[in-house]
Amino acid sequence: MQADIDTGEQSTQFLTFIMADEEYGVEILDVQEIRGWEPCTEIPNMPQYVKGVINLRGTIVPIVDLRQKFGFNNIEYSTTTVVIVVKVLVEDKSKIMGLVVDAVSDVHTIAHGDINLPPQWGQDYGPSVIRGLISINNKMVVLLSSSLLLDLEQFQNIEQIKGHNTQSSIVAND
Amino acid sequence: MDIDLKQFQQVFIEECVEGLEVMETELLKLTPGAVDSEVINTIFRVAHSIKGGAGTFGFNQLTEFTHVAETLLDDLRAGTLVLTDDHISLFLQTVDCLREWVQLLACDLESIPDIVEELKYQYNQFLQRDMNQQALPNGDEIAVTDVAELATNAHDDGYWLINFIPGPDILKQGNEPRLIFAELQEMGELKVTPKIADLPLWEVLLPEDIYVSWELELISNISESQIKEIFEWVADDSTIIIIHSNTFSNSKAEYGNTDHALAESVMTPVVSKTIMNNAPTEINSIRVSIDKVDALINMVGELVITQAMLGELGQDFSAERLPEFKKGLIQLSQHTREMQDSVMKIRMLPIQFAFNRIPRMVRDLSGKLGKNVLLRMQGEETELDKIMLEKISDPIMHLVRNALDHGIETIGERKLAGKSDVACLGITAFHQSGEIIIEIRDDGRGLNRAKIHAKAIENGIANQDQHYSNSQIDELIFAPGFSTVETISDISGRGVGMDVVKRNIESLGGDIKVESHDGEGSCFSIRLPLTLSIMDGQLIKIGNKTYILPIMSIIESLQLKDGMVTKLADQTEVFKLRDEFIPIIRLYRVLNHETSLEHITDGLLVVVESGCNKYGLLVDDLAAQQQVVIKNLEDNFMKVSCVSGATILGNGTVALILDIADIVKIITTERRQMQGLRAHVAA
Repeated sequence: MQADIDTGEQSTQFLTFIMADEEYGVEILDVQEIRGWEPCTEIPNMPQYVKGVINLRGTIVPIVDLRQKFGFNNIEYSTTTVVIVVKVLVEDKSKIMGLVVDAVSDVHTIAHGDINLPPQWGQDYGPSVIRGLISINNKMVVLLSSSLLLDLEQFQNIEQIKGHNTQSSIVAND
Repeated sequence: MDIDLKQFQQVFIEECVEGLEVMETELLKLTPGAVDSEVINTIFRVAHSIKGGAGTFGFNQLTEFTHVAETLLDDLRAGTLVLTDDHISLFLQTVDCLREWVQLLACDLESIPDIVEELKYQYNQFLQRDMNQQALPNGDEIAVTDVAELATNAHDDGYWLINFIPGPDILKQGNEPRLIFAELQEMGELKVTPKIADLPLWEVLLPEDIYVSWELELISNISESQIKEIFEWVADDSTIIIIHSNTFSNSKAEYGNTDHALAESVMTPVVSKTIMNNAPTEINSIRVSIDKVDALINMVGELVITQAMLGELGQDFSAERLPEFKKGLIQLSQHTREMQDSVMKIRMLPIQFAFNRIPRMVRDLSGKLGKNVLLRMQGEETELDKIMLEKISDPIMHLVRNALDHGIETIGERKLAGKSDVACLGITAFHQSGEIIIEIRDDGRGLNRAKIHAKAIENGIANQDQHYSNSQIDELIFAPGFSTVETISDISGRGVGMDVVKRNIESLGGDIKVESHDGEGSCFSIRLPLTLSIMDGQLIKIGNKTYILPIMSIIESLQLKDGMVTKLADQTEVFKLRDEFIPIIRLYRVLNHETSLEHITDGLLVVVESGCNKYGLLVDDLAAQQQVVIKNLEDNFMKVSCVSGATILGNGTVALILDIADIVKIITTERRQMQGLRAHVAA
């Protein structure tokens, strides 16, 4: 990923979307489709931001609320709430996931040379999903790396912590 | 370009694996002395296509090796050599070796199996003997020195045997064998023996071509790479086989002494240990007969027509067209069902693929154990889901191994028991009420119940005071950590056996049972669902959420009444069902959901079986029963605790399938933690 940012002349199209008044972008080739929000089947004992799974023409697709995952306050889902269905190759297997965002914004063609690297905060996992920053019309857009967004390692860690809590709570209920 | 070649390489590897299976099956059909040219031809074709493919992908060493094998096969085919049991064994070893090699290639490893040189040497021995037999009557004088003799003379110096078969064009390319030999001579003592058996008649001889091949014996302590360097210019076109006698005699000794090394390779059939770490690549594609595909395409065509018809009806709909509309819908549902059937059929393969390795193993093991075994296989054409086929293969092999090792007596014991020398091992597969049954039956001594019981008590699996029925004792062999063999033998019984077999089969949604009669033999029967991807499900409600339980594991469901539930000291709720106390699991708590139940008697209790125990699952309500198509969550998400998969319901929503074993596991660990905590608080 880093390598093609450095290769100067090339450019990539990004789909941008809005979350809490900020604009974010993902590579448009990773986006399979955009859907309206619809209720999904909950998965037990999952972190809050994992909304559940939906049936996308026969494929079971997990839905993640990006707002909650990024730690913004939750909002009620409305008619403009959309689900961006992202499809990427993770270890030679394609993975599909739906990301709940506030609204879709625009499509921008961005030259790789114009992308600024995100600030480095040591080993902290926060910026790792951020691929780069770019300023469009004096507004900053955060470019996200779809493959890292879909990386499940982070979920697993969170799930383990969460798992411990739920276990003790079941017993406490008795 | 690289990526393209890689793609084809995968195909090549798959073809090799398939080819080797064929080769093995055919080899086992051969009988020494008689040559069935059809069988030999098939084997030859496989070897040839592996050789060809290897050449294309630049696996030169593989090409070279298969070429040697092919040469011997060619001689057998031509009848210049009489087929012996040694040949068959050598070819079978070759199959094993190639299999390992192909696995290495699949993992992108450059190394070659250790046994290659040894096998090459054996081939050359056979070929040389063949050459002598041919050569002597013709009067062509060829000096052959006994290799072993020379090798012993060689003492410390390395003894190299080089088989140099030049390509016909090397003279045209300006290479001169004499110079090569001169260079070799500088390295040490060299003996050159020309082989002129291939010389054509004078009239057809082309002076630019080379017809002679040489066998070079070099006594020198140079390295193999140095020799290769000397041959570098001609290596591309010629066949050069370099054997180092020191390494050979070492490997020979190793081979003879460590008999169990051989057994080890029999036990872990396809893959050697080094590759195990490298995650063996499974074959991920299916070959489908063109008929099945044609049928599918036909049906898709029909589906499109029906869809067009319904679409047109929808555009211009009036009440009098209702019957037409209904007819269309019936057609649609018919086509969908047919299509589902034929798509499922694509995944179904005959169980033969799992049985294929058995004859070979029985041959190897019965020889090794000195037992005389007649193998009878039936129902090889029974079809099974491909994934299941791959996963059931190892458990079956394990059971066959057990039967050969423990079940069947030695010839002496059989004579004493008044049985015939030849033991019978029957493997049968058949359909029974929507399930597949695989039986492995032997006429050996049967399970030794007294020993099993004693062993189980010793290992703490069974309770000394409790009385066990015969079938209960038989079941004990499936308990974890159970093994009756005192000395762990090469072939089976490393103490992990049967419980792993049972667990593997259960993970496929199946079941294994054993039936045994003293002195008459035992029969293991494996029961498997037809396919992994469809199962019968019971829809249950927890609060406003719908989940699915596999019907296979449900025993009954009932409504609790006041006073039926007792709380144990550790807060476990149990209730008495006939003679058993069954623990209750409140599903809504495990899954962290809201419930509409105010009291335990408002809900329903579904009694399920997991492992050997029963549990009562408390649900809000039962809904419909239906066949569900299982989809996994891991594809796009990850493994979720308590859930084995998901499915899509009639209304298009997703429902999760509960994994009872996992739920039980979670609760058990949680109880254990609580006990630990309580003990801690008490202290």
